[in-house]
Amino acid sequence: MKKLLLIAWKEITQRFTDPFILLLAIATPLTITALIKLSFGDVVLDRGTPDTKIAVGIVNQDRGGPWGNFGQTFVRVIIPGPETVEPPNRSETRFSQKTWFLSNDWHFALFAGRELKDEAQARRLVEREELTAALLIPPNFSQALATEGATVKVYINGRDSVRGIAFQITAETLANMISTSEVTVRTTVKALSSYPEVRTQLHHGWLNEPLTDLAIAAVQPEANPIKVQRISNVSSLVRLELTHYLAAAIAVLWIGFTGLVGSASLLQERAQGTLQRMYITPTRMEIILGGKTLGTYLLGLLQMAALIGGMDAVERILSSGPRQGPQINLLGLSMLALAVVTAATGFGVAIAGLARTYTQAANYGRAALMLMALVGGLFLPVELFPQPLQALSRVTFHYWALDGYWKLALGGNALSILPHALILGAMGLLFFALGGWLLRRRLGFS
Amino acid sequence: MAEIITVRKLSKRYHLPDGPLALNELDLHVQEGEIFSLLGPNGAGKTTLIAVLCGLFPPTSGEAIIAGYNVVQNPLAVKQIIGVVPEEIALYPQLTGRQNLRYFGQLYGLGGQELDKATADVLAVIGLTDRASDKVAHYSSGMKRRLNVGVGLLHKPRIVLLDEPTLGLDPESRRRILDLVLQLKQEGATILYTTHYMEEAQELSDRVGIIHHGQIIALGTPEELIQTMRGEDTLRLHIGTAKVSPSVLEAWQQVRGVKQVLLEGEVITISLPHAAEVLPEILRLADQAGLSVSSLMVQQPNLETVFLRLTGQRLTGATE
Repeated sequence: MKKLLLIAWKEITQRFTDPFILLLAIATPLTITALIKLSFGDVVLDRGTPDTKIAVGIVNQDRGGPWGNFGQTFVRVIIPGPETVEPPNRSETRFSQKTWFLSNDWHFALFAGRELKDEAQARRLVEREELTAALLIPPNFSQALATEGATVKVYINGRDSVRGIAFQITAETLANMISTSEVTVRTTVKALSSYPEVRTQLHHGWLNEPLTDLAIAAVQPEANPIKVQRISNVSSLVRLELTHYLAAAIAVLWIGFTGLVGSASLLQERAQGTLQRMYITPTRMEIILGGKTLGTYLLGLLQMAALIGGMDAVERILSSGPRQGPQINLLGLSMLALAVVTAATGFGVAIAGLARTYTQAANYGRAALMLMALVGGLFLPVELFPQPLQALSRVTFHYWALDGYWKLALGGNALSILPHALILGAMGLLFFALGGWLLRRRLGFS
Repeated sequence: MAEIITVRKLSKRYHLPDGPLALNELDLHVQEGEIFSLLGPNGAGKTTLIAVLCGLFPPTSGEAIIAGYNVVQNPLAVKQIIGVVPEEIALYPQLTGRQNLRYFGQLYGLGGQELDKATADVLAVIGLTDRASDKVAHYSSGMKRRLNVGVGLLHKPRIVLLDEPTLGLDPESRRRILDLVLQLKQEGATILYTTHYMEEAQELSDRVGIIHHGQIIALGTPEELIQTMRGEDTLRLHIGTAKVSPSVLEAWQQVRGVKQVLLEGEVITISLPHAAEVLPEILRLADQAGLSVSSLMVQQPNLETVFLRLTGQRLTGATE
């Protein structure tokens, strides 16, 4: 045991006293993170899936107004179905007739919507996380739109707030379209009323009632925008920014490199004769391999800690506003870090076992890591991939590492990333077993 | 003196079943307290023998016993009592000289004050006390070679296996290492020393084994081996780049007393007794063949002569 720790300590000393390695392992990823932060700032990344629709609900209590039921427009767009293909009925406005096709637009197609009976049901389903969000349209919506201005409410499940916010944005877009349309009509009527003939008809009440109301409203000084009020069922919303995503991805990528380089250094030591020199001391090969691997593992953990701490510092220094989102669960993060480093170190041992030389291990290993990083979603969210590639991503440790981090960032705890930790740990053990067996054969010592 | 290293019919074939045979049923017996040199060219099997003795590779057949322990069956016990200085410099360049010594010392089980003292002693012996805190990457090749030796001696082993420890060294560093080996012998260590420098073997050794193609082909004290060549001189003729025809080599071979004629590049080596007596005849034949002799040298017998006589090859530059 003493020798095992000695060898592990030598690994750490050797690498942490090398400025070049420190530059490459710690300073480089932090610099990249800072550059990304400076370039992209607070860009929010939606991890919503085009393939897996976001479950939302809509409560339409709108009783309609002078020009029809605008609430029904929301229903038609958010709950696309066979009925939306049919022409709108007479009670709906020309606007809704023109907007039913929007349900085929890509961002509205993100949602799997259902109509709910009342506000209580909407709240309940959102709180139970059966729905990501729900839209509430009040009874006086269309009426208020013509007079003092309307308000709709959006309930959002805070644990899945990115998707919830996506729904809110969609609702706002739709509301703006309705509001803009109404303003356009008002402006047109106002312009028309400047003509003496039209004014005479208005004066004598020769126009029909809705048009008269509209004309009266049109001469009011202010338009009536629709307000979308967001209500979350958790106290603070999680804002997942692009920089957070990439920072986590960079950390996972770099840990992979550390595991690879550390484990492949066995082959480097063999080439420089120090592995043989260790072996001709009264030290068993298992102790030597174990010590080297332990050293690499501890180096990975130290690097992970340095990167997490460093990236947090970069975030604090470069962020303009107050810190968003809940505190990340430290127990969960520690579990995930241990598991990720296990998988990365194991992967390095397996590559070292497969390769003949250090150069071969480094080159092939780096290529494999980059490919796994790409498939595993480190550069692009896997949800954007076609289905077969999404399935393939599950065989990479990068996917489980990043997905676990997301779960934690969205407010998950140690229990919620336990499957991730177990899968990563199992991957690591599998790699260790394969690499250890190959290395013993490859090194050829007695 | 007791026998401390016993090697019986030891064979090592790399890449079974048809790979090269590095050791071919080699027999060797080294007495406690002696310096035994294995003299042979590159590829003769010296390094393979050291590797098998220190447990790096298992032999294909045969057995090796060190201080009563079989190297295959009891490798850890063997490793505890031997010190090995490998041919290649096997050090961590990113660590300092002292860190290297302490690291390997701890792997040998040293610790505390014992390790401190051993490190300080070795640094003094190899003359690196002043540079102990420098990274090995900044050492000269001579300093690295000395540290390489020092690591093998740190735990004061009873038996020291030195594999070409002076390879590529400057004269001063080589002298230091040779003196160190003699000092180790005075302190009672047994030394198995491999080299292809015949002067080193001749100066250091109590006994010399000449190894060729994985076998010991001659064994004895340097004097005994040279004695077998007594009365036999070596004549070296430098003939430049001129082309030497087989007929002139045959003519020299026919000169009275000539035992061997060897052409290597620009040098013709002729083994014969009493070179001075037939030198005019040899030069006449060279002149007749149109060869211009730029220099000639007559050597008294030495270990290289012995090797040359036994193998038909010179020590330096000969390969398997």
